Amino acid sequence: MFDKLILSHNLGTTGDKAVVYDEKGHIISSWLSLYRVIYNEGNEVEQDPNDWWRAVCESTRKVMRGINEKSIAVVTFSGQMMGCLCLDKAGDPIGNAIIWADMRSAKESLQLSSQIDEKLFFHITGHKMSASYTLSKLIWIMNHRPDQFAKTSKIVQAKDYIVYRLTGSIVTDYSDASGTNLFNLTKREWSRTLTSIIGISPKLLPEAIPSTEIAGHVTLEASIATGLLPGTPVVIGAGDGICAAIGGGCTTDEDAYLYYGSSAWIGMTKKSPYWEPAMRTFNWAFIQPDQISPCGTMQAAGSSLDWMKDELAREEVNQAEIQRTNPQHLIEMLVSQSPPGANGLLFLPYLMGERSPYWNPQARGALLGLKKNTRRADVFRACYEGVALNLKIIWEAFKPINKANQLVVIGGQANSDINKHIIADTFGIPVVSHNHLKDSKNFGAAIIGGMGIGMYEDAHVVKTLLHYERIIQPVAEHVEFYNRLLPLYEDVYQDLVGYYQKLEQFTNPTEVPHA
Amino acid sequence: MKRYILAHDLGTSGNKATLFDETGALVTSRVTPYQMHVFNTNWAEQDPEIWWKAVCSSSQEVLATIDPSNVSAVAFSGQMMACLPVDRDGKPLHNALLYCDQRSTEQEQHFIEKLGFDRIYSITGHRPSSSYSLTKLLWIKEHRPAVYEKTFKVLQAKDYMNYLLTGEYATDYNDASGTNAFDLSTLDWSNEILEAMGIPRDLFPRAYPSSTVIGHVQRKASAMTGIPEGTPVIVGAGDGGCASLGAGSVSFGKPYLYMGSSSWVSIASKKPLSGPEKIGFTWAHPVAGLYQPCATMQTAGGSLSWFAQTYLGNSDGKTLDGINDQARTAERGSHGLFFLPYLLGERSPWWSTKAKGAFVGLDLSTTFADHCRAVLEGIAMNQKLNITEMLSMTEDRQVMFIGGGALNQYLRQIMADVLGCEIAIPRFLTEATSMGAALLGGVGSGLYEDFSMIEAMNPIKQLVKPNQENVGYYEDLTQRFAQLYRSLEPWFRQ
Repeated sequence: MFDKLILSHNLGTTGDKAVVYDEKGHIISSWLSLYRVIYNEGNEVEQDPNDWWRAVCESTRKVMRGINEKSIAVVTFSGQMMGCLCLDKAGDPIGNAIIWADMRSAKESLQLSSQIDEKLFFHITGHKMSASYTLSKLIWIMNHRPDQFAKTSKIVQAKDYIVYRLTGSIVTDYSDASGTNLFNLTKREWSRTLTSIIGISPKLLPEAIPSTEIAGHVTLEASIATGLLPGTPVVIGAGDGICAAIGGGCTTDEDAYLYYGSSAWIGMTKKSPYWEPAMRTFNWAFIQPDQISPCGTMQAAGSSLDWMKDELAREEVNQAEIQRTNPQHLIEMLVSQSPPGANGLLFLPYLMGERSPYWNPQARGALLGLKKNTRRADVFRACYEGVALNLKIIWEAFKPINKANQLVVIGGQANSDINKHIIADTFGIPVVSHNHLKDSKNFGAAIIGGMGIGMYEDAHVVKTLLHYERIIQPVAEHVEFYNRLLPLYEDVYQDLVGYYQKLEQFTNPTEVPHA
Repeated sequence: MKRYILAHDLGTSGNKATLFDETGALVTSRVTPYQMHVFNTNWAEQDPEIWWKAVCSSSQEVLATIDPSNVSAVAFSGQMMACLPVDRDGKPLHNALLYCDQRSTEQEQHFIEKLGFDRIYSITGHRPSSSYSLTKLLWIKEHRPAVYEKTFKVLQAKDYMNYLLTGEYATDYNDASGTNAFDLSTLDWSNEILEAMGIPRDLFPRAYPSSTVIGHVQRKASAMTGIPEGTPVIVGAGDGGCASLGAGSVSFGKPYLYMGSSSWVSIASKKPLSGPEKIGFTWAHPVAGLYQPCATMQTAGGSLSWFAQTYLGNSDGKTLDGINDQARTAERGSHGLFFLPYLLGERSPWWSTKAKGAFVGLDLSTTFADHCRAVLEGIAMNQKLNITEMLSMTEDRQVMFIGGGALNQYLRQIMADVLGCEIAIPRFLTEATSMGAALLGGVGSGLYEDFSMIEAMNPIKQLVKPNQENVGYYEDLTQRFAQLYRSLEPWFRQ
């Protein structure tokens, strides 16, 4: 008799993390295998799908050391979303995958917006039209790589490709499908309106199935590559946005979570889509047909703080090396020395443009309100607060559907107490984190995998498997302060919008059109 | 026989006495420091007695190094825009209210209501403001009626020293043009303003060209200062005016840039500034017949040392060099990053006490080196906005760069590129005000033939040519810089 273990992969942007869990959700072992991100001129960001596969093979072998392969009851996936990978008839990749961060198709996205009403589009797909998504990337390929497009037989997401390599079947799940800008959210099928507008056959898109469904079983060939037993069931899993929701224990109408990693998002789980009037937020399909995960994602959250550490806090980084401590610790000691409001300093965290709440790729970051008596501590605190205030705008956008009385914070930044305090104070809500902060996506995928093989009855099981930590309460006086600060924070972005536009024209003068 | 000019630079933090010889060479100098009395947040005063004591002791100290009978003349450069009421016997009735004293904002409002902002600017060459002498006098009239009633004359700092030396009440055009009560076109006190505000015009001393001999050192003053009785006293000028002379701006054109903690740009012109935006203001030039347009920014070197202190934990010379080394590695335009150097609000070009500093245009690829370069470019672009109207008055495209900021080698090149002008670095960077006073003393007493003597006193040591391919680039970038400020202006006002 073997243990029933779950092998859960999270195919992220920088690497594949494999985690083996037991039935109680305990981590038995984990391994991270890194791969390349290929940045090219013109906001092009690509990855080689063969790198993904190599990383999955490596991490699987590494994570399985000392574990009997017969004890793996299921393999399951969380994956980066919104990419575009073209496969030919033989199922081989045609070129690299264009990943979510790639913004080359800004023009295509703009062009598309003249072809369909944006409200209608929002109601079909649950999302705004944007160069971030698969659709606009695909149009770019049709326009610029017609040969590649002519050979294309299927368009898939990262985890779908890996599942295909493991099982030989090409499918996707509802959640990843809902991140393509091509999927009809409420009907749970590819949108005929959209495929006909851009003129592609719906056959190019893989069948979308519930995230908990078994896509197939490990083939002999895949077994040799990975060391898994042939015939091991593979559950398709979900996009990382959805896996994080489950990993965050967000399974009911009363839940809300904040994923705070490089990017950050606020998500909920609801019975129906949230048609936010200003379209600041969007909707993922949840793992099964009757649930939706409304979500708002900002681009540079933890990345803003990492950028600040690398460029502005060299002294702390050097000091940390000498003291053999974490630079974040030294930075946060300073952050706590500056009062709420950072002595009048505001940081706009638009270091990668912005998705929610503004959907403006031209937006840039700013540090505003410098005075002669502005100190280093103020600069650092402003960065922390700037990210939190931007998230607060997204939080406010959810107000009509928000029933949460506490917020679960997960992701790498959930380690930081000061960050959780600032979130609690800006949002005005108790904040809590749990024991699966750093593996929340893997953990969510594991629940999905366990459901797929009947190990768990439903996603609510997650609440019994998580161990919640101490609740951080908001400080009333700070909440009141941040409420007053928020309009100022929103106003300064509005004041800069026109300027960002002019700057864009200055730095990227429009090409002279050909006669 | 050796002849000397005794030049005094009567500032807000101390008095500096300097001897120059007949060839214009700086012989020796002494500083006697004193304090400014700041209270009630924005009130700032000095007891004129401490000025006089400092003048006496510093005079004695420098004169001890030479034969005092060889002194040809005494001349002052003085802090400007003050208000010192004295009685019929020349006794101060109140501490002097200094340029930075902001207590008279209500009087400023009243002044503007009476005459109108534009009218005041066109008469005096300056924006109506509580920084100047007039509203300070109005405050005394309202709040210290007993003082006002006994007031016989209202003086500037150096004018009081001249009075103590000679027994004469006098001022010069340049200092008078910093009172908000002086008519630039007639070079006399403005009847229109004084009548409207109910101030008798004989409260102000007669104004003379800055190189005028207004009297001679009297016996009592001689005993206290060590300056021989009968030594000619030249009226001198305000420190802003003297700095112009020291920077070689002694004839038409000749723009220059001063940069210390604050910074200004200035020129010698034939008419006052008249641009509708009122970016700058105009003094009467210490060289009679010329005007001295000027535009001043609050934190230039101050921005740089703040940046060094805040981002690197230190603002010593080595750290500033390090900032330059970093900035050199960044591309022009700092990768789209702009720095607004408004850490203390701003005077020229925006005249906003609400303005704040900012870094705008960050993205994930923005480096610390970009920050360093953006700070230097931000300071330079602000001065580009300030100097533009002045440059339209002349063909001169060589800008003299003085003040401690001019020591910064890399900043010289940035300034050249951003201003689109050749930058000239003179031998002495921080002696301009004393030199200006000495020049007035020398020309006024006949020891120096004319104002061109400054070329011998403070010769140009280095010329920095603009990199032509950067000039057009920075013209455009400066427009973005201005747009950025305008975009943020409504926010600053909140």
